[in-house]
Parts: sequence; C-alpha cells; structure tokens
Amino acid sequence: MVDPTILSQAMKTTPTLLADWNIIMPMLIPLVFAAGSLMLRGKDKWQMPMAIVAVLLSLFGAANLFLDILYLGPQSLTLSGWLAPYGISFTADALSALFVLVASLVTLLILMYSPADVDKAAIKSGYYTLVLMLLVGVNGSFLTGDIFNLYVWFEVMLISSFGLLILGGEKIQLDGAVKYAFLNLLGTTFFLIATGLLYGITGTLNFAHLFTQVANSEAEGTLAILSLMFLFAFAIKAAAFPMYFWLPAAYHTPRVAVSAIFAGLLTKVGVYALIRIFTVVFPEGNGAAFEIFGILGGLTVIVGGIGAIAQTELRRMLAYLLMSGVGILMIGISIHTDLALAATVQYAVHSMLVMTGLYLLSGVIGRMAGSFEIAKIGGIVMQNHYVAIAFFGLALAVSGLPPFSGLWPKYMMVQAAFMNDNYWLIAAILIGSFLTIAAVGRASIQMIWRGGDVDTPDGQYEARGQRLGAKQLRVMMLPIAIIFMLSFALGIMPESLIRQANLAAYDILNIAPYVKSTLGG
Amino acid sequence: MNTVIFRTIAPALTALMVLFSLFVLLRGHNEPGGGFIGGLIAASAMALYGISSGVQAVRRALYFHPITMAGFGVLLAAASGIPSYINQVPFLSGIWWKLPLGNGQYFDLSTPMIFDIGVWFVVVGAITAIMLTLEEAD
Amino acid sequence: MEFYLAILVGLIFAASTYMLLSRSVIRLVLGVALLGNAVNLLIFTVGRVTRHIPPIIPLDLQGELTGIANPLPQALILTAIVIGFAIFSFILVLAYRAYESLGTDNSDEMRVAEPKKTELTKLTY
Repeated sequence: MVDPTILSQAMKTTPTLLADWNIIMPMLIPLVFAAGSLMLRGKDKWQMPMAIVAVLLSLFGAANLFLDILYLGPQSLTLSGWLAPYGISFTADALSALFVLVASLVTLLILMYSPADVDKAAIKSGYYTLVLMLLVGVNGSFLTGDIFNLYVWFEVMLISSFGLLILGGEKIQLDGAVKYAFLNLLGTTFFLIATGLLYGITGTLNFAHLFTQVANSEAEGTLAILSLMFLFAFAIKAAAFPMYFWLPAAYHTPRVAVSAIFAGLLTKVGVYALIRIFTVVFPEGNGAAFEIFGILGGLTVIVGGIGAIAQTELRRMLAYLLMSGVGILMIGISIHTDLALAATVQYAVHSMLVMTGLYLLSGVIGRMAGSFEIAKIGGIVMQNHYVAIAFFGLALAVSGLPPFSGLWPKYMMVQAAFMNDNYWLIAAILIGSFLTIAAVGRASIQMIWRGGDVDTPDGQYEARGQRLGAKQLRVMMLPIAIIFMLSFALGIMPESLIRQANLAAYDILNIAPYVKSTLGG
Repeated sequence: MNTVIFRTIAPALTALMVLFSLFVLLRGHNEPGGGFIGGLIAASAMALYGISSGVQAVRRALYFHPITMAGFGVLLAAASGIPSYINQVPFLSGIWWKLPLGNGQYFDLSTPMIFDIGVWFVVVGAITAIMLTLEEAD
Repeated sequence: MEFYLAILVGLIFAASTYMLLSRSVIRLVLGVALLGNAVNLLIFTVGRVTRHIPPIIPLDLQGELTGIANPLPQALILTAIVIGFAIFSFILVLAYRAYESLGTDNSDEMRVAEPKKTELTKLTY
C-alpha cells in the first residue's frame, strides 16, 4: 500500500460533506434525467413531465447552492477524490450561483411554454432530451473550475443547440444551421487553441491554480496574445460586434421555444466565460484586452441598435436587440469597477429573463398574425389586450425604461462609466438605448396598435393566423406573465437583485476566496 | 462487397469482435484498453454486420434501439458516482468492493469499472446509431 | 522535435484556413476537420515532447516518480478527438442535408434565412 502521508498530498483524505455535493447537482440532475428521457424515447407522454421534474429539481439544487454561497462564500468540489490542481474542480462563487439559478428558471419557463409550440414529431426527435442536455452544458459551464472542462461543457451545449436548431429540418433551418454551426465551431476551436497554449505556458488547467501560475509567469507577451485569443473565441460565443453574424442568421429559424432558450442562455454563457477568464486568468486584463472590450462593447451596442431598426422580421429584430444587450455586458467588463460589474451581473439576469420573454411573446404574436413580418402583423391589441400589454411592458424593459428591470443596470452602468471618465461608452449606451426604443416603438406601433396591413383602414383587418383557444393562450401566456411580473418587480424593487449583484461583483474582483476554496489552505 | 464469402464469414467475425471488445473493456482497468476503445471495436463489429446483412438485421440483433443503449450508458456512468455519496467521498471517486467467489478468490468490483461499462454502452449506442442512420439514408 | 512539430502545426493551420475561406460547404467541413487535427497536434506539442518512460506507477513505488512522460495532454487530445468526431459527423450530415434541400453547396447562395428584398414598411399606419 502507498504511504498515507504521501497519499494525502495528492488525494483528499478527509470525508466529504454531503452539502459539498450541492455544487454539482444543477449539472448532474438534468444529466441523469436526460439519459432517462433518452432511454424512454418512445414514450412521448413521459418526456414533458420528466423534463419538468428534472428542471424543478435542478432549480431546487441551484437555490440550495445559492444559499450555501450566500452564507459561506465560494464553494468547491474536486471530483474523484484528487486534490485541486490534479483533479477536475467545480468551483462556484456568487456569480456562478446566480447565473445557474436564473438559467434553471428560464429553462423551466420555456418548458412551461413548450406544449403549445412543440409538436409530436419534435418530441419524437428528442426535443426535451436536447433541452435538458443544453441545461447540463450551460450549468456545467457556469459551475466548472477547470478551463478544459469549460471547453467540454461548451461543446455539450453546442451539440445540443445544433440538435435543437435543426429540429424539423426545414429549408430555412438548415440554412441557418450551416452558418450557426461553422461560426460557433470556429469559436470553440479558437478556445481550444488558446487553452492548449495556456497549458503549455502555465502547466495547469485549474482556474484557481492558473491564477497563481499566470501571476508568476514571465511570458507576458505570449499571455497578452492568449488573452486576445480568448477574447476572440468568447466574443464569437457572446455575439459581440465583428463576430456576431451567426446570431441574426440563425436565431429566427427554429421554433419559438428554441429561439427563446437560445436567447436566454447561450450568449450569456459566452459573457460568463469572458468574465471568468478575465478575472481569474488575466485579472489585470493583460495587454490591451479591457480597452478592446470597451471598443467592441460600444460598437456592439450601437450596431445592434441600428440592426434592430433595419429589420422587417420580428425575430430578427429581437436577435439584434439581444446582441445590443451583449454589448452593454461587455462595456461592464471593460470598465471593471465594482459598480460596473454589479451592473453587468444585474443586466445579464435582466437580459436572460426579458429576451426569453420577448421571444416567447413573438411566438404568440406570430401565431395570431400568421406571419413574423412586421408589415404583415396588425391589430394585436384588438385581438387580445393581454398580449399587447405584455409586449408593451417587455419593450419598455428591453429599452431600459422604468418601471421595468432594464433601468437600474443601465443607470448603474452609465454612472460607472461616468466615474471612470469613459464618456464615449456613455454615449454608446445612450445611443444604443435610443435606437432600441425606436426599434421596439416602431414595432409596437405597427404590430400592436395599427388596425391592419399597411394602407388598410382600421377595423377591416382580419388576422391571417389562427384564433388561439383560451386554454392554449393560457399555456403560452403564463410564462410570459411570470417574466413580466419578475421584470416589473425587479424594476420597482431592485434592492434585492442589486445586493446579489454586488456580492457577485465582490466575488469577481476579490478572487482570493475563490482560489482558496479550490486549492485549500 | 456482397460476396458469399463475406456474407458467410461476417456474422462469425462480428461475434468474435464483440467478444474481443468485451475483453478490451474489462482489461482496460490496469492495462491498455477500456470502455471507449472496446466500444469502438463493438461498433465496428456492428458496422461489419450492417454491411453484410443490412440495417434491419443489425437492429434486430441489437434488440434495444442504439440510442436507448447510449442513454443507458450515460445513466450507468452517472450512477457510478452515486456510491461516493454514501461513502462520503467526492463525486466519481473510485470505490472497491471485494466480492467473494466462494473458492477463496475475490472478484474486484469497482466504480471505475461501472463507469467504463457505461462509456462502452454510450460509444456502442451512439456510433451504431450514427452509422445506421447514415446507411439508411443512402 | 518540437521545432518540426511546430512547423507542421503551422502548415496544417494554413491549409485549414485556406479551406475555411472557401465558399463551398464541403471544403468548410474538411477545413474544420483539419483545424481540429491541427489543434490536437498543437496540444501534443505544447505538452512537451519527451522520450520518458510511460506514466504508469509501479505498485511497490514509494515517493516521487521522476522523469515520466506527461499523461495529461494525451487525455486532453483524446477528449478533443471524441468531441471532434461527434461534431464532424454532425456537420457532415448537416452539409449533405443542406445540399439536398437547398440544392447548392455554395454558401453565398444559401440565402433562405436571410431577409428577402421587400418593400420597406411605411411609417404611416
């Protein structure tokens, strides 16, 4: 047998508390249920309840983890009994926990909407399994403490998103999927290249260990180039300015529930990875990364706004609005003060909820009008008041107007930029917000308030779409109503979220507890 | 491709390859081998059988749908972490049980082996599913 | 050894970049496959190419084992190969299906998902 004192240098010899398992639960539970639903793939009736149970359980697990981290600080579990730099670690701080919580919530809302939108054929092709696997990838990315493991979760996420994107196999979907697949693959491959080179320089893959190794490394020039490679890779994932083309090319092609889950989760994982890499691996930004973040972010906000105005298709317009939101997050990372990072976290939560809500609502509107072309949609307010109110509210939220949740993070972001004398970033945020207001305002005038098609007098319009039954409408509107309420509540009572965001920002800027929870000591 | 010799020899070869894949799977714990390579060998056995006897024959021979096998593999691999929960060690830690065989010998059952069997199922299921779908599309 | 491997990695990267710049989707597929292999070789090279003994610890060994080869890059490459295989088979089928239903493998002509040239919406309503 091996000498126990030697063993204790590499392996964990103290018993693991069951509470330590909390950190992997949001990843493990959907994985087990996804495997189960894969095995029961003939039983269509079981798929939806299984997925709901899985997401409820992982939401519960995420809440548990969130409370743990709230009271005890960052948590870590290194798998297979090895000690930290040797085994694969899962480490979560307040940022990861908050994102996991919101991601699970968004998935639950989308599952609630799904029965109205997903047909039998899609369930047979494994819609619910793919959604669960997507959640596994997203939660895994948020929780992992190992850069190569992050790459693996990215690929889990990517492959499930491929599957969801082409579900149904229509022409338009294949066309969108080709662009989505190749550009995203390029992004993850660049991530892998940068990870390989980083391993070559530092000899480690563990985030916490990387933090110490990079600080001691003398290869500053190479590290600066690597930081830009990571920036490039994750900017593709997050759909930032020059690398965003895949997003508006693909997000309007799948069924609405799939667009909504993509809008809620995928780009935010890119942003999370940017925050994580640029806090633990390159805390000083190494080279000019933070300046580039600012430039890219500002341009993303403005280009997203201009793109949104230019679109004539509702879901393409939403895709550009989503992109514009990513720009604001990148501006927050660029400024990198506690106020800016708190605003970033808060805006990410807001954007996850509101963009999901808008995409789901676009499904309702598209069904009612029989088209997604803004010119062909009309008289929504005459058909259903609640849909009109929901669109109005979420439009206010996405443009950052009170009394909805978009106001406070934008306000905090502008304040943070002001305190840092970044006046052109303030201009970018304000111009972007103005363009967003113009785009959603025009859409709401044309779709909601206009009586009918262009040039038809009011009251003579007959919707081409289906009349939605009361029950179906209830299924579709319930998740949207929940998002509406949440956004409203976070708008008039922002303190609770601001407090969590401040905690997350504190964890981002003070990396020591994160490192300590992984490496011990 | 579809000569008499090939059609006659392929089923026997398939059986041999599946047996070999099980050997590689179980050998993999201490020596080169393991679930992934074993699964690949079994999947290529299925490919061989598919070329000689057709897709339907493979589906019949497998009995379970290949995707179901892959799902079972993921479940098994994930379940191999559950004994760690009871033993109060981190997820996926290696745990060993000695099962007495009666004649004074012991059989070493371990969680890494269960994990490896799970990997074997995932690889066989997933690759066979891809292959059968591609073969049916033609 | 690393020097020659580095040059090889560079060459493969160059070839795959050339392929990825093409408009033909099938060349894109090959370019992505080549890129994946270039990355695997890159990880292999940055993990230090050494002629050490294999990283298998003898049962009776006490203390540190020095001079063994680094097993980690190989584990990473194996993972990357498996993922690359899955993705390659996916995009191969995707490219084939796209060619079948869109009738072209020229990415410039794949414009079904792009906005059509329509009359701009009027501002009046």
